[in-house]
Amino acid sequence: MPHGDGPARLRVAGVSRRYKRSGGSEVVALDSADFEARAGELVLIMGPSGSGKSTLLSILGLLDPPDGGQVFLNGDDVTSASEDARAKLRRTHLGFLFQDAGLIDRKPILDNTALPLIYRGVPRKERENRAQAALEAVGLADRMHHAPGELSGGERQRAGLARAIVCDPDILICDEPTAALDAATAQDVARRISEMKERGASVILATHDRDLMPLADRIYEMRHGRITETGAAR
Amino acid sequence: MKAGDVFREAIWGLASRPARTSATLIALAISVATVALVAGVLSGFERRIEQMSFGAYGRSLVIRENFFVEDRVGSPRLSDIERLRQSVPGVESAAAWRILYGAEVDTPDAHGQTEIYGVYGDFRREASAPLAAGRHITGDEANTSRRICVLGDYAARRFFPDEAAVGRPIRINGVSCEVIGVLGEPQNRIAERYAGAVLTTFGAASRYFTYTTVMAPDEATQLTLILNDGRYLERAQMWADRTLRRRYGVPFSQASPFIYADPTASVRSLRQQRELVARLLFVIAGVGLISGLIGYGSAVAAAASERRREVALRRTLGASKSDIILQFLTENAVLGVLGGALGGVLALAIGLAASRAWSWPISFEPSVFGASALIGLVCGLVFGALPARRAASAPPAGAVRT
Repeated sequence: MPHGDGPARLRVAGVSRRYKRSGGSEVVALDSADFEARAGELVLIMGPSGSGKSTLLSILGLLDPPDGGQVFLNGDDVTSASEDARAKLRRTHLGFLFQDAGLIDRKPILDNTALPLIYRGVPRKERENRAQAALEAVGLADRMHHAPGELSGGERQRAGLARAIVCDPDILICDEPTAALDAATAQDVARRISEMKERGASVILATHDRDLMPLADRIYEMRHGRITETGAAR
Repeated sequence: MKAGDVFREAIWGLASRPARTSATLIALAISVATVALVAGVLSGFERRIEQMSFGAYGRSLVIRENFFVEDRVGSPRLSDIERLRQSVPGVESAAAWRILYGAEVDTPDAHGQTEIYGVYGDFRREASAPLAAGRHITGDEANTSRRICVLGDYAARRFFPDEAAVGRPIRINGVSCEVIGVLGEPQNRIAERYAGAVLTTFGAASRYFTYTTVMAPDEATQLTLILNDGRYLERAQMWADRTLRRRYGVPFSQASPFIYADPTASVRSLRQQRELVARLLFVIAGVGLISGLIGYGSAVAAAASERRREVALRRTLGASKSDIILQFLTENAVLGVLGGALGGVLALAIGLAASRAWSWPISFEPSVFGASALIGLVCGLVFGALPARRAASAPPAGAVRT
């Protein structure tokens, strides 16, 4: 089956999310959003700050349940899955890459990279081997014993990517992964992210970096909590 | 998550914040130390009281001549024993002691001065030290003038440094006497009195070993009445005084010719001291414990709050709530055990210093350290439970929204 065809690996239908403000009023962060990502597909979610990209990513990443609508993972409705069930699905299917890489400050890069494997119950030696391999894949083999604070922004982001792919996830969710990087480093990180798509993973990438658009198979535009436009990239 | 990984992550969690961990550890150690210190001091008092009121001595009424009255009637006599037994209620047994201070003792290997206790009656109730060698003076022998003696533990080592004392002769003020036994190591404060002394028969002490005949042959340095219940010592003293005044014709308008020593008086005084110290210590311990635990609880809560982002990240990466709770509880358990053990050591150090400075009777059993660690563990788990639950409740979505 060619990449990008076939059933949706991750799909949400009509999801919405509201947050209560301190005064008691509600803000609609996400309003009736429909979204899907297939195997081997890189999907961009674009929009200005506050448009609801991160909220949609939280729901797609099973981090936050929606107030309304449905979430499907590999065809299964996981909308009302318990917190522990969602934690299990996250460690089994999902990888995350954050804007600031999301590394734990005092842990060496190798331990940071191996962290998701701990929650999968992978033995220590195997964890180290897999984390080393992931760091080698992103070109950080020589920095594995360094603390995150000793790395440049680009290196930290690559370390975050190594941690995201160490479990070989079906779905990679990236939140503004290039926002804090210079153009050359951003291009390098983007290239490495798109390699995951070639391996058959579904890559979901929230960004307002228009330079990433050529990598995308599909683009969702968001504004004021709504998906305003959906289109296939060139 | 495997148990070994939980432990490793917990140790990492503590080691990665040395300042916070140290502050938390010290707060808990102070709390536990106050409790351990109070336990050590009170246990020390109990032990001293136990030593002082050991055995029959705690039920004894000791009668001596009162040297401070004008019309002295001499020392109490052996013949008084029978009268006292008949008139004083609750007398279980009685003994008489003829004590020679600074008697010259010679053996082939050594020479020195020591006390000689001439014993009569049921003396073994008071001199209740175990025998290390030989035999004791029997009740029948005590009532004779046989020149036999038993050496205290220290006296035996002093006068016979290189050989066994039993069967060897010694000379007391120039008169020979056969050693028939050696007392063992003193087990309590009362028995310590006899460690450096020589025990012989009452008759031998009065007939052979004195330089001058200051006392009549049946006069004793002291009589000891052992009661069957120590609570009635005051009543026994009243009856003994009444009997001896009648015997020696001393009216109640005059001072008593005898002194009645109640060995339990010092014990009672010590108990009062203990009560006073206990109240003071309970207040100090209460303040220390509460302030220490508040400090500990705050430090743990603050540490958990600081780590909300880390927890959110871990949860994003697949950690369940129970994984997070388990990690935090393990951290607190490790902190608790270490803090408790440190508190035990701190209490020991403070206790030793207080013992030297104010002569407090402090007693630390090895189990104090185990108990301290256990208290620390319980405190760690109790005070760590709520922050652990709160930390685990941090929404994983927080990791996305930076």
